[in-house]
Order: sequence, then structure tokens, then C-alpha cells
Amino acid sequence: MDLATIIEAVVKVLIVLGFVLMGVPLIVWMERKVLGHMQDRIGPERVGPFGLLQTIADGMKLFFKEDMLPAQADKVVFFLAPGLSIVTALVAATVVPWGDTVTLFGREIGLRITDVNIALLFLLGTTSMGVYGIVLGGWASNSKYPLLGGLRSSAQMISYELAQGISLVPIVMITGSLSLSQIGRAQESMWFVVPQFFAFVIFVICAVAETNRAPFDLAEAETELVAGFHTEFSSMKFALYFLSEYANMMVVAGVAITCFLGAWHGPGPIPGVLWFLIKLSLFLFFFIWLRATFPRLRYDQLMGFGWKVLLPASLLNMAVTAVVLVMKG
Amino acid sequence: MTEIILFSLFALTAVTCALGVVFHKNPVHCALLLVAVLLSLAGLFIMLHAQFIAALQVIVYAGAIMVLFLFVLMLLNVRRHEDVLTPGAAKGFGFLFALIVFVELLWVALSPGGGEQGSVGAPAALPQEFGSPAAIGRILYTTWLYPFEITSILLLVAVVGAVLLARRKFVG
Amino acid sequence: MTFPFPVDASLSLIEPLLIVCGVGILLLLLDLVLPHGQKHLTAWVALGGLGWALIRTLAQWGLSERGYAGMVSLDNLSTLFNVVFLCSTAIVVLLSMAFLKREEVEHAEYHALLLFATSGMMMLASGLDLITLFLGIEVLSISLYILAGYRRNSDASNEAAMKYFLLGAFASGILLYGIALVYGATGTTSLHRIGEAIAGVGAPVPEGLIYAGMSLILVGLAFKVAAVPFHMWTPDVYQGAPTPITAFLSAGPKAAAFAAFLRVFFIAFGPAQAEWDMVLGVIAVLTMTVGNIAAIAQTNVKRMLAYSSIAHSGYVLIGLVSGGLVGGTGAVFYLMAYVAMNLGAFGIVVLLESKADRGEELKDYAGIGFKYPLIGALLSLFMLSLSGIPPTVGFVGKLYLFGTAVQTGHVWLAVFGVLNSAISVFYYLRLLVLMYMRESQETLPAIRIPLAMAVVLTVAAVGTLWPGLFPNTWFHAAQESVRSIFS
Repeated sequence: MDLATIIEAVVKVLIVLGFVLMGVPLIVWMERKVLGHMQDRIGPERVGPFGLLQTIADGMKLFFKEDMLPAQADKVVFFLAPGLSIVTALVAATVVPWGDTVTLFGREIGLRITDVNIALLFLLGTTSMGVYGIVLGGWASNSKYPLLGGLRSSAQMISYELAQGISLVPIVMITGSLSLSQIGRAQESMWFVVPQFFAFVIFVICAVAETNRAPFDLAEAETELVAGFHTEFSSMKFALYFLSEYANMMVVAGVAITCFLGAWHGPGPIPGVLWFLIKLSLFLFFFIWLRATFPRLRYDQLMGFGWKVLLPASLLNMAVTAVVLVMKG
Repeated sequence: MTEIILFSLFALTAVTCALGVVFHKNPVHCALLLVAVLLSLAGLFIMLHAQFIAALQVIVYAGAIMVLFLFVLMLLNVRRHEDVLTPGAAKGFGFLFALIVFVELLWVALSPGGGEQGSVGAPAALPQEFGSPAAIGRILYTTWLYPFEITSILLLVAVVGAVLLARRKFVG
Repeated sequence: MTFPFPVDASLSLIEPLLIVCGVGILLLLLDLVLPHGQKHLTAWVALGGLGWALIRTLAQWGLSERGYAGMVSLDNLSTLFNVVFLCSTAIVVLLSMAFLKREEVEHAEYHALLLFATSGMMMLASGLDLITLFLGIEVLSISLYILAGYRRNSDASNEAAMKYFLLGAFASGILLYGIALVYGATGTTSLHRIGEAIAGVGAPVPEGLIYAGMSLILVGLAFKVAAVPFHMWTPDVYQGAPTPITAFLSAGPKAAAFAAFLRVFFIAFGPAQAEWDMVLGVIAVLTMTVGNIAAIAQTNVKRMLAYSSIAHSGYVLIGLVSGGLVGGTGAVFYLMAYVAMNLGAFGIVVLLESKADRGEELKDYAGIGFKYPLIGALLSLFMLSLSGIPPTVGFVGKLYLFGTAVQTGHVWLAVFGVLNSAISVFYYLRLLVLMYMRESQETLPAIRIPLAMAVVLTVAAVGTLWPGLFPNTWFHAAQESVRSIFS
């Protein structure tokens, strides 16, 4: 391992971490602005130009708030849980490619932190570990509503993980690889959303559920559960949960783009990385749009939908894809 | 060298956490330590070039089964460690037998022939695709086809049983 | 359409297994279609499937093939055991008809699980690899855990299922650990190649590891056949489970576990027989003695038969210890005999008990001998056979088993076997004394024997009596089956 490799790795990690962590305030600002306009109001506008600095100010406020520890809370787990949440979200971001390779200073550099050959499984693994942050946060608070929120979300995430994983299988069957950069490269001529539209729809629905976003945000349903699993968290611990939710959104959007929406490919002379960023912003806009449009589901409807509709549909899609692939030889 | 350091790291974590699983009083902490054991095992699998198995270990065991464990622990709200073993004789016997088995296995492992010679030693050079999903898929559908298929019957039986024993209405 | 790689999968090799599994899945689907009150029809579908599989199995007699990368063996041993499994399951389906109706628990899952359990037994009897054996044991055991707890509203049934499940899962864990150690020592899970490794073909293997693995596998299998000291689950499970399931438990699964025992210890560990035959011998003696002595103290018929079933495991183990063709033949013959007479005995228990576990106590049998002469006569026949009195199949089986023990130089085993048979006569005949020499406490209602039950009792009675008088056919079948694993 020479010095250049190490420098390359460090720089890439810094870029991704910086992008994800700096991107979050931007997305939050976008969410508030977009929601505002969709609900016929203006949204934040006082702090900075167009209210751009509003989220930074909110972050500062959180930072200086008192860090509460509920009586009878499980101290170790209470500290561990928010950390687990953010770590899994950031680790997942390491395998998402944001472009093909470029040549800089005579080195061929892949635009991703790491290109493991089982990237997709790695992603599923880290997402499944992400459940712990939520369920443990809910449990460690030693309080009713957080516990219920934690239980709800763990059941929800396990259920939707299945359909999500299976909806990605056809992509793997078509490309014959679990590596995200291979999958990205395979979409040069055609985006997989065209042959695999069903899988795409299933994946997006599951992605919304996996990130606990509206209309699947039952883990924190404020009308019934106060704020769900993070009711008792304040200050930086709350900020970590907040960060990880938005970081997860970015990862999931990145995976959807890589697997279905042509990764960094796009028409015109625009460079791949830029295409990726454009798609990412549009996808995040879509997330916000969903939140503004749909009412929250009831919990039993949510579970029923996951097990009785999405899972069979994704299995069927997988079977049909397999048959078609074999027929084509 | 890196290999030895990594191995010691994973192995020590696994053993320490496993001891924690047995001796910790709080069931939820035990479950978390078990997750740590499973993750370090996944690390060991990666060191053995079995990336696919490692990923499955994380997704299936650490990610799904252990979450269900936690789910049950939380629903039952088992806060304090409940001593299921009757104190005294039963516990003593348990430790005694565990000790005997441990010493026996230790003796087996250290006895001549237990170590490097025989089939236990380092295998020949690994095939190029070793441990990849493609290689595992191929072997599952050729050599191990029969066990693979009867495993599906096993799972079907388990599902039927779970539904039969757990569904709300039974009679009529 | 061709596969890009060779697949060694001959369907005809596992045809009976496929039929049984297929019909099991069909039953699950039928359950969706059949209206309430018509679910009992699934029993006939199950019987049809079993009959079809039986016909195909009989056609396989004499064939000798291996397939699926050497993991599945079609030989006379698997064929003979498949016949035993299919017949015993069919008998249990017939036994259950009246029971399910009486307890108002007619569901298609019951028969589906019976069929899946049967498929698990078939996997066990034909497995030539530790992995397939383990999977077979699990398919069988999980079906049985569920069936033992089938009467969800009964505490005893729940207790039985829970105990069976916890201890069974533990035993499976031990078995699997043993398999892992043997694999670690030899680098293979194939029974034949383990045998070669132990016999010293190829590189030397670490002996300690093999013996550690072997003893763990022995513990796991001993649990499944209910050998002492791994028998603790048996009485509670046999007593709490629905009676037809108790009958099922004591017949097919026990035979299947012994088939696995036979293959593992004759093929894989055969070359090391000097190491295990003393251990197994001691287990056999303990199993017989503990089973028989504990049976004397029982007041519940199902519990008594549970201990008797433990004792009979001990007798069969004598055959395994004796080893070789003669010992194996003795064990297989005795297993067939045991399945026939035991199913008959349980048939009578099912017939005489009434709703909510009534009529299972020994005192409930007082005076029935003269009140129901036919039932009394049949029960006497089965009891005489279980205790090994001529001219029944139990007598022939024991005679041959103890003979092989003497022949192979295990005289002490034969002595213990004879002593134990003498003990067992006490509690088997006590039931006869009760039936014929005591007056009943209450007035006994008239009993009508349903057609299904009549078939069961006739088959069991013929199976108990006919080979007792003319044992040659059974003996020949048993001998051919054991011979086939040595070829």
C-alpha cells in the first residue's frame, strides 16, 4: 500500500462524509421550502438568503441544548443507539458509486470509496443493522411511547427489507454481478427502470418505508406516539438521529439511482458526477413531494401491504425475470 | 502479520462477547452482545475468503433473527435476569459437565494429530472464484442440490407449524 | 434449454419422497378450497398419496442406486424402511379419524404435517451424508414438535410440545456440533468417505477429534431414539401428545432414527467399532433396565407404553452392538415387529379413551376383557407380543436378537435382555389381569368399532401374529436390507 493509495482513500472518505453531512442541512432546508410552497406558504426566509442558514441555526441550537438522560434509562444503550444509527448510515454510503473512473495525476481513480464485489449485499447488511439504532433507542428510553415506536419500526423495517432485497434480485440476475459499479456500467445503453419498472416501483415504496419517511413514518407518528422512538432524546443525540434519517435518504436514493435510473449515465456533455447529483436532488424532491401528498397509513395496513402485496409482487417479478432470461438464453 | 492482528481482534471480540452473553444479567444486553459475536464471526468469514457467507451472516442473523429476539425480549419486558436454573445441584452439574466437555475438547485439540497433520491443515490453493456468490450458487444447485431442496421442505414445515400454533381461531 | 452445468438429479431415485411431499403440499392447498366441516376429506387424500407412494416403493425393491453426488441411496434398506414408514403413517391417519372428530380439531394441516414428517423419515433412511441426515432429522422433528402440541387448548399437549421442542432443539445442536467435528477431522460429510478416512485410507486423521465428534453424534441420535440417559422427554411427550400422535411417535420416527443410527455407525464409524460397541452396549443395558423398571410404577397407560418404548429401544440397540449383517438384521426385524405390535396397542388405547384424556388410566381398563371380548383379545395379543411370548412376532424378534448377541460374543447383553424381558412381563400382564380379573367401577358404555379402526386393528393383529408363526418373509426382507448397505 503506497502513500498515493492512502491519500486517495482519505480524500474520498472526506468527500463522501463531507457531502453527506453537509448535504443534510441543505436537504432539510429544501424540504421545508418545498413543503412550504406546496402548502401555499413561504417556508423559512429570515436566516440568510432564502432562509438557507435556517437549518444551520437549528443545528447550533440543538448543540447548545441540555442533554437529558431519562431516569431509569439504560445508560449504555441510550448512548449507543443514536451512534449506531448514524454509523450504519455513513458506512452504507461508502459503497455507492457517484461516477465512473477518472484519471488524475496519472492514476486511475474510481469514484466511490470502495468497490467491494458484494456491494449490494453489503448495503442490505448495513441497512439491516440500522434497525438497531431505532429499536434500541426506543427501548433504552424506558418510556412507553418510544418503546412502541421502536417496536413498530423494527417490525416495519424487517418486513420491507425483504421486499426491497428481492426487488433488487432481477437487477443482479441481468447484470450477473452484485457490484454497484458493475451495475452502474451495465446501464450505459438502457436504464434498468425500463425493463424492471415493477421492481423499481417496489423498491421505491420499500425505500420510503425503510427510511421511516411519510407516509410510512409510523415509528414517530406524532399524533399517537408523541415523537416515537426519539421522544426522550435531546441535544446532539437527537441531532444524530436527525442526521441519520437524512443520510439514509441519500443512500437509498443513491442506490435507486445506481440500480434503476442509469447511475451516472445521462445524455449530453454533462459529466457523470453532475448527472448523479441532478438525479439525487430530483429523487430527494420526490421524497418530499410524497410527504406533502399522502396521509399516513394505519399500522396494520402498512404491515398487510408489505407482506401481502409487496413481497408476493417482488417474488413474482423475480420469477418472471428469471423465466425471461432463461428463454432469451 | 495483518492477518494475525485481525484474527486476534475478531476472535477475542467473539469470545469475550460470547462470555458476556452467558454472564450478563440484562437480557437485552445479552442479545446485543450476541449481535457483536455474530458480527465478529462475519469478520472471520471474510478473512476466510467467504464474503458471501459473511454478508448472509450479517443480513440474516445479526439483521433479522436478532431483531426478532430483541422484539420478543422487549414485548415481554424482561428487565431483570431471571434465574431459570434451580440453584445448587443443577447448576453445579451444569458447570461440571461443561468443564468436562471443555477439557476434553482442549485435550483433543492439543493432542498430537489434532493440529497440523491430517485433513485439518491448510487446504490447497483456493479456486479463483472461491466464496463468491456465483461459486456458491453453482455448488448449491449441483452437488448440494438435494440438501438445498429438502431445506425448503424444512422451512415450509416450520411455517405451517407457526401458523397452525399461533393463529387466533382454531376450532371452526 | 440446457443447464450450463451438469446436474446429477434423478427424480426416480426419490420418487416416493416426492409423492409424499407433493401430496403434503396439495393438502395445504386443498385446505383453502374445502369448506368447514369437509376437512376430514383430507384424510382420504393423504391415504391415497401414501398408497400411491407405497406402490411405487414396492416397485423399487431390489434396486440399488446412488445419486445426488452420492448423498442419496436407493437400496433395500431405504426401500424396506420406506414401506414401514408409509404403512405406519397410513395406520396413524386411520387411527386419527375418530380422534380428530371427537376432539373437533379436523384440519388439513394435521395430515399435511404427518406427510411431511414421513418425508423426513424417508430422507433419514436414504441419507448417505451427514448433512442430509441432519436435515431429515430436522424435517421430522419439527413436524413432530408441532403435532405433539396439536391440541392447543390442552395444557398437557402444550407442555409436551414445549418440552419436546426445547430438548429436541438442544439435541439437534449437539448432533450438529458432532457433525462439525467429524467434518473438521475428515474434511467430508459423506458417510462412506468418513468410513474410509477412519479405516486409514489416505492421509491420517486426528483421532481425538473424530471420537469427540462421534460421541456427540451418538448423544444426538440416542436422544432421537429415546435411549437412556437421553430419554427424559419421552414419558411427558408421549402422555401429553394426542394419542394418535403418540402412536406415530413410537413407530415411524423411532424406526427412522434407528435407520440413521444403522447407516452412521455401520458405514461411517464401522471401522471404529471397537471404540463404540462397549459404550453402546452399556447404553443398551441402561435403556432396557430403566425403561422396564420405570414402566412398572406407572398408572397411566400412555406413560407406561412410553417407558415400554424406551425399553424396546434398548433391545434394538443390542442388535446394533452385535454389529455386522446378523446384528443389523436382528435390529431391523425387531423394529418391524415393534412397529406392528405397538401401533396395535395404541390403536386400542385410542379406541377406549374418550374426550379430554379420559380413559387413559390403568384402572379404566378394569373389567373390559369380558365386556368387550374382541378388544380384550386383541389387546392381550399385543401385550403378549410386547412382552415376547410365543407365538407372536415379539417372541421371534427377541429370540433372534439375543441369539445374535450370543453369536457375536456379547453374552452379557443377551443375559440382560432376557432378565429385562422377564421384568417387562410383569407390567404387560398386569394389564391383562386388570382386564379379566377385576370388576369395572362404573358401567361401561357399548363401543362400536369404526371401520377405519377395524382396518388398523386387523392389520396390526395380522402383523403381530403372522410373522410370529412364519417369520421367513420378514426375516428375508430385513436381511436383504442390511446386506444392501454393506455392498
